[in-house]
Amino acid sequence: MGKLFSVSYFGNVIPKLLSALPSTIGIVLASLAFGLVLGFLAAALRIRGGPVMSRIAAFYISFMRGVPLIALMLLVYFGFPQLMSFLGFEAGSWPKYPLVIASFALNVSGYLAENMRSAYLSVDKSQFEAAHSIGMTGLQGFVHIIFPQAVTNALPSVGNTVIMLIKDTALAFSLGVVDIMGKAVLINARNYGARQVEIFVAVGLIYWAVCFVLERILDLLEKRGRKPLRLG
Amino acid sequence: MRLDTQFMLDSIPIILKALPVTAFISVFSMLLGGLLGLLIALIRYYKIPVLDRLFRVYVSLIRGFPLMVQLYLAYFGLPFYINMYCQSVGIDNLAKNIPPLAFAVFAFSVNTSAYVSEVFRSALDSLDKGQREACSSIGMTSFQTMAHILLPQAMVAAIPNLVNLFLGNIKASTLAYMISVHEMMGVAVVLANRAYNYLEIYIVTAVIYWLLCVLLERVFARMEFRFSRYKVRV
Repeated sequence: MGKLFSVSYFGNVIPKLLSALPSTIGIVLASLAFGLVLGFLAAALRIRGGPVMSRIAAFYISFMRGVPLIALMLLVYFGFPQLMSFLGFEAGSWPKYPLVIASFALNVSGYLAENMRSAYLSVDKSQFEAAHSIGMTGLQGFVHIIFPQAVTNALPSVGNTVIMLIKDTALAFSLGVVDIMGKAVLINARNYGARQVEIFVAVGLIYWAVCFVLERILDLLEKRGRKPLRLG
Repeated sequence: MRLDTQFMLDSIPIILKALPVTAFISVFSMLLGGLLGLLIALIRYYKIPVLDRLFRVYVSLIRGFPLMVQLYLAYFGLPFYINMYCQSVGIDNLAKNIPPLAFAVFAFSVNTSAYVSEVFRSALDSLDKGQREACSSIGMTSFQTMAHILLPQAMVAAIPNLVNLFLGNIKASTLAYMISVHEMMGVAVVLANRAYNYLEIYIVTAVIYWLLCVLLERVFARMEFRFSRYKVRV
């Protein structure tokens, strides 16, 4: 039956997987960028959107956090083209990457909104009053006083969300995206069931290493962040 | 926009019929993972040599591997090793008779154990050191101290995080459909592929999971309130 674990095969497969790492990183960064924008909007509306918008934002956040990622991905991937054709926009096929990124961005925006909201709320109210008392406008107070402190507060939880996002992007293969997990699944399919453990341990270790490096960077930032961030 | 609402309504009971499978996966992996996680937390709390190191690596790896990778490792890897063992002792391949559901529960339990161990460890660490000293000063053994004093308090501190992990498990159980377990997601995918009504089915599925999570969140919030009543009295 062969070896328990073929170290040489394991060594061979790692560079092949790493060739798809840029794809994974691209998906993570793009999803994070859109997720941060959506999350910020949702958090802002949740906090001071008035009774109606705040309700809607709360629903949005709860929905994005409550729906399993794979269900959201399938909903966006299959639902969006269907929705578009209902609305009269026909396209032979919609590009895969934007839809995959959109579903990750929607999902992560719910978590980021909660991270940002609690970071904002953890800044003491008196800070606002102090800013006001020295003649700052509401916007100035937010930009110069509240926001830098909120960013520092948000760093640990946002960091965790990003790490979660990185591991979640491993699901993109289910829609045929060739990121590192997609590559692993392709190699696995070509192998007719041989050396599966080596392939998936290798891909897992790559995710682990990426998360490990990111955690270290976040630790450093957090230590530095004890001094509130200075903008300009 | 034309949504086939009749089809949506009809699909709800079909998907819900698989709710027990979803519940089975989430509850069992929470129980098994919870027990294993508690054990790991205790090993790491008492800093038992060698094992402490070993489980530190275990927890780090499990938390760093995507759940999908763990699921595939269980689904592809375990049968491989079981078959290898069976061949070496000359018996029929036992792995053929193991349903995919078992591999799913195994993978989710292992995954949960790492997160649960961190929850308990931080809950135990958050307790005042003076309590351990107080217990030993009145002659309690370290087992008594853990069972009667530390663990009950740690449990209460851990509940909110355990609830989050459980809700996470419900959502994570959807991945089991990738190894052909017919839980709610798996049933939904089959339905969608049969009728090409993707949008309808996936809206229904998403809403079912969302409602399930919201409902359970409410229930658990009530429970948490009850469990933490003792704090108010003090």
